[in-house]
Amino acid sequence: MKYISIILLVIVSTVAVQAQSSFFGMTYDVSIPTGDTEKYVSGVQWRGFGLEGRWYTSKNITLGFAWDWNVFHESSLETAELETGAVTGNQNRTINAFPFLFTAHYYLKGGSFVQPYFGIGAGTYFVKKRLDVGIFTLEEEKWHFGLAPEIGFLFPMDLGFNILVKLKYNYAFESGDAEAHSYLGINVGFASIELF
Amino acid sequence: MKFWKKSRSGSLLALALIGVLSALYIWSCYPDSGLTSAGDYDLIITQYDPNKDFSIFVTYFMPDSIEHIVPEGEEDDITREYDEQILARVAKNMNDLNYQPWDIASADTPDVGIKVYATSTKWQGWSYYPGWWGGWYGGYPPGWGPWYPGYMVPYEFTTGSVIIDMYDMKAYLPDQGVTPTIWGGGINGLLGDSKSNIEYRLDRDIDQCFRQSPYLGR
Repeated sequence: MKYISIILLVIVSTVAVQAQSSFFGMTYDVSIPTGDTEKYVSGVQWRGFGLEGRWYTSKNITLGFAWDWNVFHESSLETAELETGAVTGNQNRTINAFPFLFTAHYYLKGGSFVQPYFGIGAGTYFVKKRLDVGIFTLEEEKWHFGLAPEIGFLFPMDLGFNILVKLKYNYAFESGDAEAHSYLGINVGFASIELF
Repeated sequence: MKFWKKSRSGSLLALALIGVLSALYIWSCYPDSGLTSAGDYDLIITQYDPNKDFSIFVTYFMPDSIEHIVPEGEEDDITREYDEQILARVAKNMNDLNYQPWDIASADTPDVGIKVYATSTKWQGWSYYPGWWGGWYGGYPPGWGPWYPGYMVPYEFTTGSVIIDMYDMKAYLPDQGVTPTIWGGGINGLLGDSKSNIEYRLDRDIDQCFRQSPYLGR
């Protein structure tokens, strides 16, 4: 995975230097956990934020990178059954997920009001998982390889920004004994597109 | 490419600024343990002997005092202020389960014995407290300027535990000199709460010990 990352970094850097047009976006991220992540923290999660940069290699294609910070948190008072007993306490389950992805996007033919696109991101997810029960804390930090297919829309505004709306499915594969993490991101923000 | 709105000068800077502020906002809202009051940290653990049928027991005996477990060489600083309340609550739960207090005048041995212990433990650690803009005054040596101010502080807290053990009095093992424990309930929580809160938590947590042990009772 390290070699793939280096190759992608070189490609993106090369493109970034040579490209004439660029795209920088910032989004507020809402996340809906799925799979094992949903078993740990359920419900819509409202803390999240993302930054990305894209560089045009042709009229319809960009290569770039994306970074996000997605926070998952749930509190509950639970009684857990043990083999010969039970334990009751306040549980606080938290996940901080940081995707670092190289991205590629293809832009479909759009109208004057909206520009649809689709793309994919590949790279690493740093996932920090924490469980508090009473005064006791368990914490796990892992790097995962992950993929993030996405579809999105750009709405041009008269203020020099474009509104960016995207659906992004994040999937961080199992890493050692750490289970996979997955969630659907509904990301809304702004994009600044520099044309030269 | 004509579709795109060309950015105004400074838009990238604005985006970057919004980004940094958003990151700081999320950091300031970073969910800590989420627990706010001492009672939120309470933990109730019960264990039992699955080979025992608890419905065959009829009488129980419980001493009228709580044994304090104090490490050797340390003074007993655990208050006895709540002993009476704890014992009364345990007795209430036993009675509610249709167990009968053992009559000291009885010729028979009680079926089970209940013994209550109390202990306290000090914990120490360090915690990072994120600050805000007002917390930074500059003047750091080169390379030390914190991009986001915060500070480490030591903290100490004391937890108290109440342990309720149930013994099978008719299963005394003379060769080992012990009476086997067949059920145990442990309550662990932060001390340093107000008197009324501690009283409330004790009742709530003792009740929970019995509530999460549905195999008890006649």
